[in-house]
Formats: sequence, C-alpha cells, structure tokens
Amino acid sequence: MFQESSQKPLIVELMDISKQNESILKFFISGIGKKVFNIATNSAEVEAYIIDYDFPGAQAHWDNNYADSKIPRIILSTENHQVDRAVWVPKPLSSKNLIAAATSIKELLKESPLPSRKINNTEDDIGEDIMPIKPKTTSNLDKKTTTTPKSSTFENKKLLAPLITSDNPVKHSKNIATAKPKLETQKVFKKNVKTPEEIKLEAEQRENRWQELCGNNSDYTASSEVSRYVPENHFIGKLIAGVRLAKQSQQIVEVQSKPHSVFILPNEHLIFTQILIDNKDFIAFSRSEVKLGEMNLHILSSIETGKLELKMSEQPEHIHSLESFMWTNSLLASQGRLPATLDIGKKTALKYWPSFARIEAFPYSMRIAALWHHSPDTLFEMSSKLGIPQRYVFAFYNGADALDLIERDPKRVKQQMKTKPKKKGGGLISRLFNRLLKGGGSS
Amino acid sequence: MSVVNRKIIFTGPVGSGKTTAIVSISDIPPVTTDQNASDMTKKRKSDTTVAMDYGVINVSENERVHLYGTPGQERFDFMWNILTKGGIGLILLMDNTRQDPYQDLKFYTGAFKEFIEEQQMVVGITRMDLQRTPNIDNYRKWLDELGYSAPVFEVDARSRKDVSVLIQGLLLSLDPGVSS
Repeated sequence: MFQESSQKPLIVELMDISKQNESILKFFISGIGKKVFNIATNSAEVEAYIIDYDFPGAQAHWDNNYADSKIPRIILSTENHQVDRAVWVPKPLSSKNLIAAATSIKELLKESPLPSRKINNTEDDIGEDIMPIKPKTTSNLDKKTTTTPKSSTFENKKLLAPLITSDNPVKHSKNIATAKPKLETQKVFKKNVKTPEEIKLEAEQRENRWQELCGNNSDYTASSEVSRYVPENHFIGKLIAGVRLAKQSQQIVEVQSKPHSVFILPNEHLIFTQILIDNKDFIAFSRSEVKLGEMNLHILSSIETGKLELKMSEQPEHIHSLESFMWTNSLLASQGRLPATLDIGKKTALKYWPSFARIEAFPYSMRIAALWHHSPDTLFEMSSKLGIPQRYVFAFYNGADALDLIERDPKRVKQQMKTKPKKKGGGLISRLFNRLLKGGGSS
Repeated sequence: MSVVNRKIIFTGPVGSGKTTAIVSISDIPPVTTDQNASDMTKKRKSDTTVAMDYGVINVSENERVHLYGTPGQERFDFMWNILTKGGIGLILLMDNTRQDPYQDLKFYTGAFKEFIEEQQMVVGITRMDLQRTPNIDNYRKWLDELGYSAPVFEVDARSRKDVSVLIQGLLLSLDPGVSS
C-alpha cells in the first residue's frame, strides 16, 4: 500500500477528463486522497498523468502528442488498457484502486526515474525539450479543432452539430420554440377534480371488483368451516399445469380451451389469448368447471410457434403479463375460498413478493406480502396479526399459490422466520406510507 | 419546530430510469444534473446524471423524505457512500434491455452491500416492455444466489403509481407493521 508517512504524494496532472468528473476527482484528491495525490501547479513537476480513456478523443490525444513521453499514466476506463508505463484503473473508480495505482506509479518511478527537470515556466525552458507539449486539463472539445480518435467508435455528431444551421434557420428556430421540454419540466401538477357522484361510483366499482376477486365471506372461527374449492377443476388448474410444462420444456404451451386457446410463453413470462379478460364472460370462464378431456395441453411445434409469433405481432392487445393473468384468474376462480387440499394449520412462507405494480391489487395485499415474507405463519394467524378480514389473506394465498411463490418446506419456512425486518423509521414510515396511499398505488 | 429529514436512494445503471422515477413521484419539480454524456455512456443515453438527482416527498409540515438518484456513469463509488449516509432504503432500478442484467445486479448489490444489509432494498425492473428476458423469476433467483432477499417489481419509471408501489414495498419491507 501507499506509504503515506514515508512517501510524498504523487504529483499528477488531469488530462482529458470532463469538467464534472474532474471536479469529483479533485474532491477526492483534496479529501481522502490528499496524502496520495497532489495536483501539479506546473508541467515541470508532473510525475504522472491521470487520463480518462472513455473521454472522446482522449486516447488519440495521447497517441498523437505524448506517445514518446516517459511520464507514466493512470488510465481511467471501463475497458481494460494494459499499456507500457501505465496503470489501468477500472471504473467504477474506488478510493482503494486509485491509491493502489499511485503506489504502482511510485514504484515504477523508483525503478526508472524521470529525467531531472528544472522548474521554470518560461517558454524557452530547456524542460520543454524533455517534457511533452504541456497537456491541457480542459477537455478536447474546448479546442477549436477537435481531434477525432482514429479507433474510437464514439459518435460525436450531436456535440459538434450547431443548434441552428444557416441553411434553414427559421425551421430550426421553430423547432426549438415548439420542442417539447425535458421530462422534468413537463410534470403538470393539476388536480383531477371529481364530483361526489363520480367518487361514490368509483368506490362502488372498486368494492364490487374486490368482491369478485376476494369474495364476501365473513371470518371463520374454526378451520373446518372454511369454504373450499378444487383449483384443478377450473381453468386455473390447467393453466398452472401448462405453466409448469412450459417451464420444464422451455417451449410455448397451448392450453386448448374454447372459444379461444391460451398460449404460455415461459421465457418471456407472457400469455397470448384472444379471450377478453375485462368482462363478465371472463369471470364466468374462470369459475366454470372444466369437464374431463377438456382443455388439453399442447407443446407448440416450430411451425406453430412461427405462426403464433406472427399473430402476436399483429394483435399485441391480446398479450398479457403471465403473472398478472394467473393472479387475476386464480382470484376470480377461488373468490376467497381455499384449496381443498390445504392444511390450514400449517405454517407457510411467502418466498418472493409478487410483482405488485402489475398484478391486480386489493385491500391489504402488500401488507400481507410483507408480513408473510418476514413472519411465516398460518393464514388464520396472519389475518389476526394484521387485524384484517380473512378473505383477503385467503385471496392472497390463492394468487401466490398460482404463481408458485409459496414456501411449504418446514425447514425453509423456519429459515425464513430468522430474517427479521429492520423496523426502522418509526412513525415517519407509517406517515409516508399513508401519504403514498392517498396518491394512488397498491395497499 | 425542527424538521425531520430522511432519504431514499435510487440507483441503477445508465438509462434505468432513476431520474424519471424521481420526477414521477417528487412533490417538487426535481433538481436534475443531467449533462450531455461524454463517454461510452452515450451509447445508451444522450443525457446522463453526473452528480445526482434530487426530489422530495413532503410527508407532513415538518417531515420530508428526500429522494436522491445516484450518478449513472458507474464511477466514483466514494460519492455513493456519501450519498447513502442516513438513507432509509435503496431502490435499485434495473434496465432489462442492457447486455448483462445479472452483472448489473451483482455490481449494484455489491456496491451498496453494507447499506442494503443495514437498511432495505427493493428492485424495480424497467423496460420490460421492450425486452421480456430475463424475466422476473430470473431476477428473484439471481437475488437468491447473491444472498439478498428483496421484493422485485416490474415497473415503468414514468408511472407515479409504479414508483409509489416501489416505495411502499420498501417501507413495508422495513416494517411490515406499518399502519394506516
């Protein structure tokens, strides 16, 4: 490591570094790195350059002007540059790597010191013969003529293009005047004022939808009373089996249903179906019982896959997120009932949170996820801990079950119980949470 | 009366939507420091954040949650350490169209390891409308492999609702007992 006490700082000059990055480097050098680096006050004292090879033209600038220089370099870049008398520091830069680079340069200078130089700022200084042309710490782009790096693939057109060209100044001026402002200035803080009737109607519609998804059962006092259903007897059972097959085979699977089939794309996590999902028919479809021999699973051949891809490109409105489709379908089928085979007294855990920004949320759904993930428990206990109606916990269970997000292995459930939430922030977290709820979102 | 200030950090690769997410949720027109990208960053985005983005959520008269976006140029990690001091959590935005999202995930979780362990993280996957793979299951499993447990949501950084969901997920992960 750099011997801070015994070694003098390495005197460096920053070359071809953007102003912003130069400021941050100087911030580092004046703080944590002050015992390791010093910025040169004149070219004669420079022991090393720090050069950003990702900066447009930086490498060409060096090659054209400093190729014969004996002064070593610290090359900052996202790409590996192993060159003579240089130390590469990969981005992201870290204090540790910069200090290590300084140490390497110091060692290099010990092995092959620079020719002695006289500190003199006059132009006829003999040092100018030894030293390369004084490098500029300002960017290449500040120059009147910009050196275009031979090997660089960087597109500099935008930076070099004038805002208003002489051949069509009016058009460009108009463009500037009518150009859309940047996104940050586009935000309109307008209030969407709704009438009391509209608010009431919206609340009723929301409540109805939640009933469709979670049912309207009252809480049960005994587990034996809980209303049950058999997922395998519904479309959701076939869909779950289809997803399993699709994931195993890594092929598109068709659930052959009427009036339209449902296609499962396992890698893309997509569903394609011409069944309309935002109407009463879909609710009926989800709840109806599947007869024996109906809704067979079929792995698509390459020809069928090609045809499907074409159809999907023509009808993108029939493409759905797999997670969202399965979640909604599962909830509509179960209506707050629980699977017939579920041992209600057994503790389970939520392995992963569902993708809440895409699934259809209902009251307390996110709270259930948080609690269940951190504190595996029985469904009755979770409802009791959260102080919420059981039907919401049951609905969440069904959705998570369809998405294979539940951990049932007792050992793993126990392991998950060990990961406790941090519980930081106190009342502010609750107030922020409520503030966000008022502004729309999940629950 | 003294003002209580807390902060949430938004991080992720160039173009993952950090600036946009802060714009979507902030109560004030955010202060951004986007500049013309001058290096390979430009391959992905013409403007990039060189210092940090800043926004605010006013919780109450005397409580504010400040939103900071880290610079996207994948450099100067010592700036990140300064930025995370006093933060309540991290929102990691992942651009699904990038060449190697797994490496991005590994890099950012590694870079903010201590902060994540001390606080909490939530992951938002952006641009899934443009590129469906890797899928959300892949991210969940990658996080498992890397030893992190965090909610993963597909989001559109332009949507206030989606960004709100990310923050709600973060808050509930910190304390599932958050009450309304």
